[in-house]
Amino acid sequence: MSDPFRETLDVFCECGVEFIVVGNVASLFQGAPITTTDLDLVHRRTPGNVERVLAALARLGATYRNDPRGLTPGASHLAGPGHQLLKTNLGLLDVLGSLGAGITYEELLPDTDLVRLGANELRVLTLERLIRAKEAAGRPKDLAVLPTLRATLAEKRRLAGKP
Amino acid sequence: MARPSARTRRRPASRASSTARRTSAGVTRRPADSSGTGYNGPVDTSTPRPPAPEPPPPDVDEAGVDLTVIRWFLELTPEGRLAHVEGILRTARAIWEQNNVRPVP
Repeated sequence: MSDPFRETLDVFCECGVEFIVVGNVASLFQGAPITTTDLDLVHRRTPGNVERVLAALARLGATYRNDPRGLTPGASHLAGPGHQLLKTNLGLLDVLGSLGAGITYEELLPDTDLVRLGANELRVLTLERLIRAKEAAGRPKDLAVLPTLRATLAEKRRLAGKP
Repeated sequence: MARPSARTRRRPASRASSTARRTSAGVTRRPADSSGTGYNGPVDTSTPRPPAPEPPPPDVDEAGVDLTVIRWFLELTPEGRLAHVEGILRTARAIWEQNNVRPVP
C-alpha cells in the first residue's frame, strides 16, 4: 500500500465515476494542512453513474466497515441520499449520496474546483463551501478544524490580493 | 543681476507662513523649524515618495493557527499536498504496526 487516497481516486476516475471530493481530503487539496484517515466522496446518483460507482467499489474490494459479514453496497443503496461507510483494500472510504442536509452532487457542483491529479482532473469542493458545511454540521470534530480552514482561506485571499 | 529662482530663493524666516506652501516648481516650503532640524530650506516634493512598506503578516493568527505552515502548504501543488499527507500516513501505519497497534485498514 503506497498512496491509498491517490489510488482510490485513480480507480474512481478510471471507472468514469462522476464524483466530488469533500471532507478533509478536499480541505488538504485546497491548501489546509490537515491530515485524515478516510476519503469522502459525493457521487451523482443517476443510474449510469451508480453502476460506475459499483464497478469502482468492486475493484477496491469495498465492504461496509461496521458489518462483520462483509456486505457490499448495492445500486439501491447508492441511489439514495445516505452515507455508505466502507473499508476497501486501500483504506477507509465514505461514499455519500448527499452532503449535510441532503445536498446533492448537482447542488454542490457550482462550488467545486477542478484539481489535476496525474492524468486525471478531480472535482473538489471549494474551501468556502467546506467551511460552510463544517459550520452547518457543528460537531466537535468539524469545529476542531474550522480555525485551520478559515486561516487557510484568509491566507489564500491575502496571497491573491483579495480582501 | 539675475533674479533668484524659486528653487534657490530663500524667504526670511519671519515671513514664513504657518503651513507648508507648494510652488509651481514642485517645491514645498515648510514653516520655520517644522522638521525640528533647523532646516527651513526648500524640499523637493515633485517625485512622489514610495508608499511605506506594509508590515509583514503575522506568523500566528488570533485563533493560534500557525500561518507559516499554511504558507508552506500553499506553495505545494494539490498533488504535492496529497503526497505529503499520504507520506505521513505511511509513517503512522509503520509505527502502529511495529507497536502492535491496530492499523487503519
